[in-house]
Formats: sequence, C-alpha cells, structure tokens
Amino acid sequence: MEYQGLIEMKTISVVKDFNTKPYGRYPRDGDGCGQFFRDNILAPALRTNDRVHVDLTGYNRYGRSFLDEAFGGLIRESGFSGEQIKSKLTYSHDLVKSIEDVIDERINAAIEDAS
Amino acid sequence: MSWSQFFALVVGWLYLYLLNNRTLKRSEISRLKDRLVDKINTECAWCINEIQKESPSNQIEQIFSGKLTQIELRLNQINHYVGCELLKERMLFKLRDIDLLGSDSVENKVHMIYSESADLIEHIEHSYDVHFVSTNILLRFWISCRLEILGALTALLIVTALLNLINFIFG
Repeated sequence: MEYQGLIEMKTISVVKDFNTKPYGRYPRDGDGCGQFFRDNILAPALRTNDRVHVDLTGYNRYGRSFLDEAFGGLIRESGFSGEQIKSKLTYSHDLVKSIEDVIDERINAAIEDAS
Repeated sequence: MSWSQFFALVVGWLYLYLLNNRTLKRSEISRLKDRLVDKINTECAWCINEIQKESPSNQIEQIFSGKLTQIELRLNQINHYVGCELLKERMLFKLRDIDLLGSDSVENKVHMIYSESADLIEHIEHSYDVHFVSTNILLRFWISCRLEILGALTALLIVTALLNLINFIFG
C-alpha cells in the first residue's frame, strides 16, 4: 500500500495476488475466474482504499469474459457507481495495451447498461 | 588529401550506405507487413472456423486472446522498425472485445470477426501506402533514417573535431 499525500493507494498485481492464469467468468470456470477476482480482491480493495491500481502485467491472454466480469461486474454486481470506478480505479498492462482498452470498453458498457 | 576531398568522400560513402539501407529496409518492411496481414487473416479464419464447429466458447476466447497478443507484440516490433505506426497496437482491442461467449448467433459473431479484421488490414495497408507512397520523399527519408542521419552527423562532427585538434597540436 502506498500513501500519496493523504490518499491511500493500493496496487494489486493480478498474477502475484490472485492467479497466474486468470480465466473465465464464473466459479465453474475455475479458481482464476473474474467473479473470484472481483469479489475477493478488487471490490474489497476499492471499499477500503481511496485509490486502487490493478497491474495486469505478467499474463498476456486475458479473455474478454474475465475482464468483463472482473471490471464491468464492479458496476453490475458489486454496487459501485460509474463515477466511483472512474475516480478510484486505474489499471495497466506494460506489454499489451489493447487489454486496457477492453477494460475501458467493458466499464463504459456496464455504465451504459446501468443507466 | 584535402578537407574538401575528405568531406566529399564521406558524403559519397554516406549516400551509398543510405541508398542501400533504404532499399533493404523497404523490402523488409513490405515483407513484414505482408506477414502481419497474413497472420491476422489466419488467426481470424481459425476463430471463425472454431465458432462454426461450435467448439467450447471459453476455450476459443482464451486461445484467440493469446493469438491476438502475438499479433500485437509483432506489431510493436514492426512499428518500431518502420519508425511510424502502421497500426496502433490498441486498435486490436476491437477484435479482443468481440463477445464470443454471448448469445449472438454464429453468423453475427463470424460477421463481427470478419468486419473488424478487415478494418484492421485496410488500416495497415493504407498506413503503408501513406508512409511509403504518398508521403513527401524527404519526410519519409527523415522518418525512416533519422537515427542513422543523426549518428552520421555526430560521427562526422567528432572526426572533424579530432582532425582539427591533431592539426592544431602538431601544426
């Protein structure tokens, strides 16, 4: 955890803190599913920290379903608003930048569905 | 050898080097571009085939994501080699964002994959055309050879300074 001024910022590494091969959407898909990541790691971090940064580096084959459930599900399932997500959550992948764009798109789609 | 002869010699070598380098580089870029387009076609055709065979969607999504990553990494390399963006790596997100697990019909999924991949390939071909055919020759030359030009000028400066220094010391 880092402190930027008085803001609490937590960095989550998907491969180190969750699963080395994230895959699938629901528990039936395995331990590395998007729902587990969201419910057990990401949503709790967002509730207890001012800012959360998700580092997706280390795995290059994220499926759309994992990203949609993990990030879009924050709005659909975990009760966060679009504004909260946009202000509190950042994410990055050092090598595969299009993965960041998929997450942007999934979050925007969830905001649109919610409204 | 006088200074002017030395300078003319260096410029002549430089010109021949740049000409040779330009020809080799251009043919290499054309080959890499064609291989990239073939890879996009091949991987998308694989995905379409798997969808039509009704293979497990989760697996198709995972494997296709891996294939797109390979394309993106290769694209990074080509863009770096060319010195300009033939295609922004981020544009591949349109292919990544296709919902292969959704309730859309097989025909719709196939159409989306074909449509997005065709857009990408058209963009690559257009960027190649703009960079190598339509762009002003001097600008194109600068874009592709700026590091070599700057390196050669620096080397020329150092050699000139060194020769002047030797001339000054030994009169």
